[in-house]
Amino acid sequence: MDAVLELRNVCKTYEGFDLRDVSFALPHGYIMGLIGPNGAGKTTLIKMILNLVRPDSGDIRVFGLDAAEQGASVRARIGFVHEQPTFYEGLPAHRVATTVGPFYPAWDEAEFTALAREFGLPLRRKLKTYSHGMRTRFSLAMALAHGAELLLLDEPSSGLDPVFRRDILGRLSAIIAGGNTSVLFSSHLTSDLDRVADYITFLRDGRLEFTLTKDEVLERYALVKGDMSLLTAENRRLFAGIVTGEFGFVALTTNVEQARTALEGQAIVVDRATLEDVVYFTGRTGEGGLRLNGNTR
Amino acid sequence: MATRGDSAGMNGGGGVLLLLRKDWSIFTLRHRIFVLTVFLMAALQAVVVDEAYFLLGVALAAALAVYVPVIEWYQGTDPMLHSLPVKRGTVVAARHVVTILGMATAGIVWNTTGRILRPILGGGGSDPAFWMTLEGGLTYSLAVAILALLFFPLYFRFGMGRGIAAFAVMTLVLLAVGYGTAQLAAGPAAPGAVGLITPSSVIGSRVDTLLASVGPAATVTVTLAGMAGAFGISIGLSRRWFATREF
Repeated sequence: MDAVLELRNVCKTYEGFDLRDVSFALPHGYIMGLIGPNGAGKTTLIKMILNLVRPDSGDIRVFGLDAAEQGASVRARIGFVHEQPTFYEGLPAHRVATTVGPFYPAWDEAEFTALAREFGLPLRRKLKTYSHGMRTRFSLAMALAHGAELLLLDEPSSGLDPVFRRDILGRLSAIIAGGNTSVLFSSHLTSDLDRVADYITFLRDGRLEFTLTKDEVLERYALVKGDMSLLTAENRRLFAGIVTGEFGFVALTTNVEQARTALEGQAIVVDRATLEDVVYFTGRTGEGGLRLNGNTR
Repeated sequence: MATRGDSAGMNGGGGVLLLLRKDWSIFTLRHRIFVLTVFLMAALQAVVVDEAYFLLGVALAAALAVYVPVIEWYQGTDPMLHSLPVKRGTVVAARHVVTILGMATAGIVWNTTGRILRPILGGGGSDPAFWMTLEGGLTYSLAVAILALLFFPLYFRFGMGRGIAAFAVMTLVLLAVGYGTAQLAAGPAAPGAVGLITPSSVIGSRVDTLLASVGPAATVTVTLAGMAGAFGISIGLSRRWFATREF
């Protein structure tokens, strides 16, 4: 596989948090969604790729280069949007662009200006007057204006209005179609990833739950709904996560056929699971499952 | 129009120049006027006391050296800066270049201002004042280099906030050790014989001794070598410690 980004057994320990043996690869020319609850380690992973944080062990290679040892060469080919886009607040946006942009060998000022116009950014205004959404758009324009081969987007859609979010997703798809760029897109807005991601990597509590194509995820996972009487100790083992309520249970299964066989003849409903369902249900085991009053969904 | 460079340039002299340009952009006209105004207001008070005016010159150099890092720290732009294709060693080098430029600029502004204000406000010290002499100039340069050596490795290791705290603690410890050592040397029979420890008392006296023994040319050479040594050690330590810093 021609991987633009490859992590092997990456570990990082902080007080109260550790990232353990994370391994995945992003093939060239695809969008990978990095999903997981808050504190799962998504931002830490992205920071490690940019060499802002050093792994305790493991190996991160970007474009076949070591992300720590050849960090500057790697970053020259990366466009990034941090979760909290922070630039020089006291400067007008155009000044920030002309100050920061030339650090990139392939910086294209005309492209940046065109993108800023398209994104509705007033370049004469100081960045401190920008809203969070405008800062994200500015950051995105910077990331796209130097021909980056890998885009690292950490929660880029937070703070963006739905219209612009859709536009951005469309643009990402178009960029990927060009064939030269890959995207690692961390988001808790899984509906965004439902639209554009080719691969999904799911982190939870610093552990890699899975890294699969989106189609594999959607095929593998399903929601099973049924009466509480079906939720025996044996059946609970079929599920990766369960939510119970007055009217029954909803559970996530990773093996639809096994669940169907075990519950054959029973009144159950099997639905496709969305990425949001996968994030929401994973880890909500039988006994500790969230108990809702009324409807389970 | 595309502006193309090469990746080696971003991390050699080209990278340093881009970082200097970045600092100049952030240090806007408003900031420049602010620093100059504060300096002039302080100068009006300090120029009549040689020791105070000498310290003001060192403070101006220090302010010019760390003004932009303080803004960057306040605005939280370090993760952005270090996500750019620039090596950490280049950042360290650029910060020291800025310090040397700041030292030269501060030296000119400080000395010129002092020479204008002193006759008007009637500085009561010796004539010429310590800071107007070669000894004063060399002491100023060495003091700034030593400050850089004490501060920058800590700044690059811990960041601005914790770096300043560590610098303050270390400076206090050094002053206490220096004072204690000097007091011991003076002997128990002379309590309080050791005066205030200042750059002019610690460095200036040594420069003075050197001037008297080897002459101006050799003293300047030794001072320049001392400054180069201080900056060299600072750069070496800063690079090593900055490499382990996380954002």
